[in-house]
Amino acid sequence: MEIDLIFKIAGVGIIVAVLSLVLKRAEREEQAMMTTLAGLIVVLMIIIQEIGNLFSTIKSVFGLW
Amino acid sequence: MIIALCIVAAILGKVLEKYNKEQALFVTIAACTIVLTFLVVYLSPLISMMNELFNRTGTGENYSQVIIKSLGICYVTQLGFDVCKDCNENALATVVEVSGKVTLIILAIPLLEKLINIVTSIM
Repeated sequence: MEIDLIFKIAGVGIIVAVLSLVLKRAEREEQAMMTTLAGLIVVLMIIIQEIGNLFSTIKSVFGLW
Repeated sequence: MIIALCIVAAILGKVLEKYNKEQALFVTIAACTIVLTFLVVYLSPLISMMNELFNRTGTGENYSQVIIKSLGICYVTQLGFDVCKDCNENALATVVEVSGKVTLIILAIPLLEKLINIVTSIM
């Protein structure tokens, strides 16, 4: 029950959102978009690992294939 | 513990909703996967006990295998269906649902065949 994982993902999301807002204020629109994409990819990597772990557990427990 | 985690994830999702939608979705999806992994691990002794009970009935055929497999398929299909609905992708959600049903039918065909053989042999 890793609740810290959720806090990590939420933290990354918030930081990226605030960063992109700041960059938008400083008229660096493309960098804001880049940081949003980077944050997205980081969170996606964490979640894909978590989903992979879920599917392997289900495969082993239910003996699916 | 699980309920607390889900409530926290929902609230964090709402907080993130204002800034950009995707991150909010990621938080809820992550919470779903964490809770489901915990539940599957929590469930595994129950499944081994069920297996053992089915073997004791001495039917010989591994009917328990089919039942437990269909349980797993429903488990995963429901997860995929709800995640797709969360992302407001109802078309994808129905596709996931239909594919789950198809796999279930394919799983159940041998049983059906056995049933029909038994019925015809009686008549």
